[in-house]
Formats: sequence, structure tokens, C-alpha cells
Amino acid sequence: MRAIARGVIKLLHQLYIHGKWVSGTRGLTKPVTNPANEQIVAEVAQAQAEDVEAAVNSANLGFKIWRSVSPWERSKILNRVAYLIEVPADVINGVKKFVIDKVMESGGKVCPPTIVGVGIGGTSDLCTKIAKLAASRPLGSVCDDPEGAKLEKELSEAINSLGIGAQGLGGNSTAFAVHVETAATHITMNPVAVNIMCNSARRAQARFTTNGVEYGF
Amino acid sequence: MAHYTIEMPCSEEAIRELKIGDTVTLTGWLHGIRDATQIHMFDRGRTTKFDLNGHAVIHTAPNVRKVEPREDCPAGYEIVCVGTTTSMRMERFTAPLMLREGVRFIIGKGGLGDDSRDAFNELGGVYLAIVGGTAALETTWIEQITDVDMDDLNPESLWKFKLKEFGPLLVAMDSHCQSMYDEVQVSVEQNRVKALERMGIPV
Repeated sequence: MRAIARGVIKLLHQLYIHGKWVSGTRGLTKPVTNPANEQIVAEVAQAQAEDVEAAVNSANLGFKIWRSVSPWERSKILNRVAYLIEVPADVINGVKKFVIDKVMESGGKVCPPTIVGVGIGGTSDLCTKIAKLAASRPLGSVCDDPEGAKLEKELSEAINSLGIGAQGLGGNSTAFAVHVETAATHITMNPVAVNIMCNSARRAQARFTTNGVEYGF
Repeated sequence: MAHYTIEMPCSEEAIRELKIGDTVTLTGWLHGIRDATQIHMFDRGRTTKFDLNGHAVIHTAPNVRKVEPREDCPAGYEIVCVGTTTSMRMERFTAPLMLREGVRFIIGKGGLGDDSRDAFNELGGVYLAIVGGTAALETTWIEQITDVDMDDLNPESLWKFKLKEFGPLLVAMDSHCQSMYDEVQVSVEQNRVKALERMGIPV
């Protein structure tokens, strides 16, 4: 009898059909071996014709539901999936796509033309914070990080080519600017956050001093 | 594309005349509603003393100042600033607003979705887009707060505004299943593919 590799064995005795884990109709399982050393690395459920039939029927039903979902709703769901699978292997393309899709999903609801703030890196809480700081940075300012500055220019052009336009009614004025802020991050992660400032991005500043509050410095 | 000045309340015939791209200025009355107002009306069974039949509502929670009731502030509220909030959060209330209360105009920003488009078509209503972020201008179009209902929800009370000339506003969704937001959405999806390709990102 072949040895079962210690520590890596996976027991998947159920089949994922119609949104839940179910036992195969005959309850049979099958070992999966590593061809390099012939060790058993997993033991999985063996589907029968009836199980396959059920999975195909479910997929068919899902297709019918999915095709009647509006493009806007679909983009919402896909964006959510995108957020979950943003991994380092997708590198910078994953970041760009995520930002474009968030802006697209937001459409006219965020009162374009906007300032799109993008946070890249940090822990998840820091990432959302720097996205907010990016969105509130003065227009005309540029990211200190040269890679971030490059991204600002590229994303700004891409976003303004989408045709969302002022108030989401079409046209080429979707974002006044894209501002990027970056932070150091652990190499297993790739947190990206988008925070959008609406067109009435009024700015006011004050400084607390020993002589009182100074406004508009 | 035509401009209309419409006195509130308004008939279904007048609504059916309106097409996307037209502009409208409202006179007479306007009612302010927001998330909480409609949650209480349609999820918690509350009713309003106002007759909204043929009337217009705007997605807002105005800034007001409580004052002693006087001639120009009969409800005891002085207007500070009336702005408009994003409509999409309140998408599910369009049909009940029209069915139960007879509302014909919804004023907001950012647009509404498929259910509203269908309700406008079946029941005779339109969505008027205001420019978000221009509350200061919007405030000058309003004469006074004449009355208020469900004021325990303040600032999300049901407000009754007396208008000067409220507009021009853009007909962005009409009663003929046309929506400017749908048109934009279709081209945006095509443009997205091109934008990603230009950046060398596989779609």
C-alpha cells in the first residue's frame, strides 16, 4: 500500500453542487497521487453520472439567472470578487483594473467630476486611510513615490476615457485627478483601497496655536 | 429637446410628454424625502398627512434652523441650505412612492435603476437630475418651508417646500423606458475594455 504523505493529505469527501457541499450518490472516494513520488496527497469524492447531471443542471440554471442580471449589478458582484482575489501575482495590473472597476461601479453616484484617491499597500486599515488622504490632497499635487506618480497619470487618462462624465451623464470629465498614496506592506498582501471625493471638494485649513486658531494659511 | 415650466401637482398626460434630454422648471410645491422617511413610510407602515398625488419629491435632508413660527417660516423652520443626495440608495422606494402616494417626479442625483425605470413607464413618472454639489444655488430656488411631517425623523422628515422657480432640471429618465444612465452605462462598458487594453491589461 502506498504511503499517505504526512501533513498534506486533504480529504474532500463531498462534492460542491448547487451552492453546497453534498455527499456523492454512492459515497465513493478516490485517492489522488503525486506522480513524482506516488504518494497519496488527497482523497476526493468520486462523482457518479447523477452527480454530474445535478451539477450541470445547476450551472444551466445559474447561467439563466446570471444573464438576466443587469450589467450594473453584474459589475458590482464581479468587483466584489475582484477585491477578494487581488493577489501579488496579479501585480500592478490587478491594482489598475480594481481602480477602473470601482470608478465604473460608482458611476454618477459619487458626483463626478471627482478626485479619485487610491491607497496601495499598508495594512488594510492603513490602506483605506491613505486612500482618504490621497482623495483630500490638493489638486495639482503629485505622489512622492515615482511609481505612484506614474500610476496617477496613467489611471487619470484611463478613467477620463470611460465616458462616465459629469454627474454620470456622459462625457470626458469623469475625474479631475487620480491621487495615489503608497505604504510599505507585507509581501503576501496587496491591499488596494479607493476613496472618491465628489466635485464639491471644498478645502479649508486651520492651525491651532498658542495664540488661538489661525485660518486659511 | 424642449423646456417646460410645470406647476405642481401635475397630470399623467403632462408627464408622458417629457422625453430624456428635455429640461423642466417646477413651480408651486416640492417635498423633501430621504432614506429614513421612506423606510418609515414603506417598511414601518407610517402614513403622511400630505397629499403627494401628482407631486414631486426631492432626495434631500435640508439644513434648517428652528425658529419661532412666523409669516415666512410657518412651520417654525428657516432654510439654511437645501442640497440633494445620491438617489440610488432609495431605488426600492420609487414604485411604492408612485403606487401608494401618486408621486410623479423624483428629483435627485446620480440616477435610479431598472425598477424605477419600469415604474416610471408603467405608472407615469420621470426622474429629474439636479447638479450635485450646487446646494447654494438650489436653496435660492425655494421660497420657504411651509410644513413638515414625521418630524421625529429630523433632518429626514417629510418636508413641504414652497417654490420660486425650481430649475432648470434635466429629464434623465422618462416614462418611455429611456434612461440617460443606461445609455452611458453601455458605452462605459465598451470604453472600459479599450482603456484596459491600452494599459496592456488582459480583459
